[in-house]
Amino acid sequence: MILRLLICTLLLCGGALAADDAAVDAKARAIQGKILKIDMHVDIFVRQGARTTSGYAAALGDAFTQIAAVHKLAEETSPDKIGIGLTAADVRRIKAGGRKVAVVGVESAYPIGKDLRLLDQLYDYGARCMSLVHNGHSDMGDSSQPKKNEPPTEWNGLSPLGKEAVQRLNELGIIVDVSHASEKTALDMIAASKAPVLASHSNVAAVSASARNLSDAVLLGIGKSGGVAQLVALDDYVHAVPQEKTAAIAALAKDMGLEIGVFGPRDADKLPPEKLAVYTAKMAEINRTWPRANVRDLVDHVDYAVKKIGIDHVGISSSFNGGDGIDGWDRAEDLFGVTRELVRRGYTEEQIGKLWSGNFLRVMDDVQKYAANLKGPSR
Amino acid sequence: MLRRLTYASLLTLGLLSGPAFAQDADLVARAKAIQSKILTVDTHVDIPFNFNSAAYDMMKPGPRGQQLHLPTMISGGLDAPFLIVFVGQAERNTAGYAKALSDAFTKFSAIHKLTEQTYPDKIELALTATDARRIFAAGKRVAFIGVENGYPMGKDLRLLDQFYDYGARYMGLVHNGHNDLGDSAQPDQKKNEPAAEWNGLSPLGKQVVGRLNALGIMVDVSHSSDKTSLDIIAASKAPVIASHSAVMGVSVHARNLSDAALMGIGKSGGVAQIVAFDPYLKVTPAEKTAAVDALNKAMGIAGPGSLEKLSAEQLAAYVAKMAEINKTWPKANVKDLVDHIDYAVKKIGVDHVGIASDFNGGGGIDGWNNAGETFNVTLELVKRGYTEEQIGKIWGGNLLRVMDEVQLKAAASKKK
Repeated sequence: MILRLLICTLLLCGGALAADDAAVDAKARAIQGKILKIDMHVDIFVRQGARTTSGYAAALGDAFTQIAAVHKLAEETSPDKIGIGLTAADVRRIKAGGRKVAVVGVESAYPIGKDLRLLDQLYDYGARCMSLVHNGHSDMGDSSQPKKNEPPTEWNGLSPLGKEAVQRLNELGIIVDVSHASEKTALDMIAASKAPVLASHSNVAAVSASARNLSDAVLLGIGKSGGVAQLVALDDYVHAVPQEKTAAIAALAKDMGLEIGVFGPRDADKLPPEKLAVYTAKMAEINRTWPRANVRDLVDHVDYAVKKIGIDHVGISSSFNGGDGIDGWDRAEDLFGVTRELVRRGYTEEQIGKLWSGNFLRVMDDVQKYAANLKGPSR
Repeated sequence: MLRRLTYASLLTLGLLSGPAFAQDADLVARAKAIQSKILTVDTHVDIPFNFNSAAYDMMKPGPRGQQLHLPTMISGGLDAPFLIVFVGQAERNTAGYAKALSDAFTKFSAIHKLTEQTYPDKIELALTATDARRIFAAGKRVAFIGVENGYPMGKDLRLLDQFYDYGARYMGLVHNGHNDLGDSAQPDQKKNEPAAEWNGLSPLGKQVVGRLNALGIMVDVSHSSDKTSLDIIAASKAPVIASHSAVMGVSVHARNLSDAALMGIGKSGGVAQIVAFDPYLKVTPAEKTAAVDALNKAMGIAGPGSLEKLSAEQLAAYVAKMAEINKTWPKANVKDLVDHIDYAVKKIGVDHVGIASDFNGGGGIDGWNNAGETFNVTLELVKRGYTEEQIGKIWGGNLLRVMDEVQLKAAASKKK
């Protein structure tokens, strides 16, 4: 461990002394051409609502609407352009065939209510990673972001049902995802899981304090489990957003009649064209006054996590989950800026490959191998 | 208009027939007395996707096209409808199954929201016959849940457990168009489906019947082809129902029960719920079908089950044009409905016949076109000489008995 840290440090020092921008560019382009990128982390996501029978049923309905859309895209509308990756081998095969690849994840267990049997259906419909909570505590455990009327903790971490869910996810071969869980819930999930654990989209609290970011304890737990922390280019997880900026955005949202969510104004893209133009211009002005995080800030998180738990346990999430991106990386396809920064800091091709997908795919494999071993050779 | 309406309603109540006046007034009084004592079950009321939203508020009758509301249930004496989780048959692939499952859970959710959040003091979900009697005795209306079409489960039998947990107490295996579970009474003509795909119940359909029996969900043959129905009856170890069909012996229609299916239902200890659906009760002239098809096409809708797509003005226009069509070619009426009931009672006995409206799904006939007119059916049964006990059975007693038996069988099989 110490040795690996040392190597990383040396590499990073090397990076700082790297040659001129043109050389970095060329090298980054060469690497970019070779790495495997997971194009879509399809997020089956239903916002936490009332924990009642009608709430669960409606959420399950919403979840299956999204599941249907993914399958329709991959199996009917554009099977020649995109495929669903159920295994790491699938992902590699689909990419080798020149298609985009989607890995289906479920964000929050709210749609299954208290019925763990539904995890089997989610697996059958292609889900390969799943988190248990989103914003607001759930039947599965405490959230890192309780709703306004909620106490900081309801279960003091993972609930008994949540613990059973982790076991079932292990048995099925679905990766357990701690993003959005409270720190205690995340630690409980790591302790309960017998297979490697994932944080699908979080950053590290030591670099930028946020309830949604991973504490050192959680980060180390993920590393020790053999899992991967996927860091994410969401502005307010990458750096601390000043209160004045948050207030300015809230005022703009109010002006435009938009509801404000965790990621800022909701459904801005549904504004009529004239209003959208005004909104976009005003948002740009706000971002000029209080600049968004940039690619360097993001890679600071990567550096920290790599130093803490090693290059094999860090990844970069190539999806935005509906949030606000950062300067230099606003669109999911535009990965190059990040790769260039990684090259600039001295990461090797092999290391960059691990960060972009290699580690995630290894975890996918390991989690599925664990499940297969449980089922035994007869199955 | 007012005068005509009054005249018409008096006619319906049988109050204007001169010499028979005293006799009819007596019948009305008897029918009212009976209606006040019995628990009426309607085994088929569809719900649109906007059910229990501002667009379909169970306490605010209207807009036109909606045939079931709490005030009209109370005034008409319709106590316990099965609200239907219906999903139309579409593509049999992963995306199609997932979408269908989504639609099904959206409807389950709307029903639970109605009974648990919106009007819990007025209507409550019943999972057993005992529930229904307790809820009704407490002065509330009763909601049951039935599933129409097994399509949402795809090929995954395990989902039947979820349907049960969310309150489903009967399930029809097919709708219009064949599916993975068996052949439909009405193959999808647009897809050029053959008359039969499985020659009845499919092997998976047979497993579904077994699982429904084990769970205590009543198996429903409505919409199944005759052969599928007979296969279901043969496969089921518990009494079988037809949740909304009429009888072939009175009027020929692919959706109606053959004598063989009718007798099979009776023999199983089940119940045939005769439905107030115009085209099943009496043969619709081809000219009328053409006029209705043309109207649906002009409105851009699939049929009376998809009225929620229409704006308020479109709906008013639709209703007016439909009224015009019905004036030219009158709809079946309550007498036609009871003709089918009479036939079924003669064929399989009064213990095996019941009633369904198919409101919100194309059902509704002259004299029973919404929940508020339910009494007219009771009155016609009285006129035909049915006793209070018999009417109690037909209006719900039989169905509740079957529900009990199906659940008892399931409980017994669990013990084994």
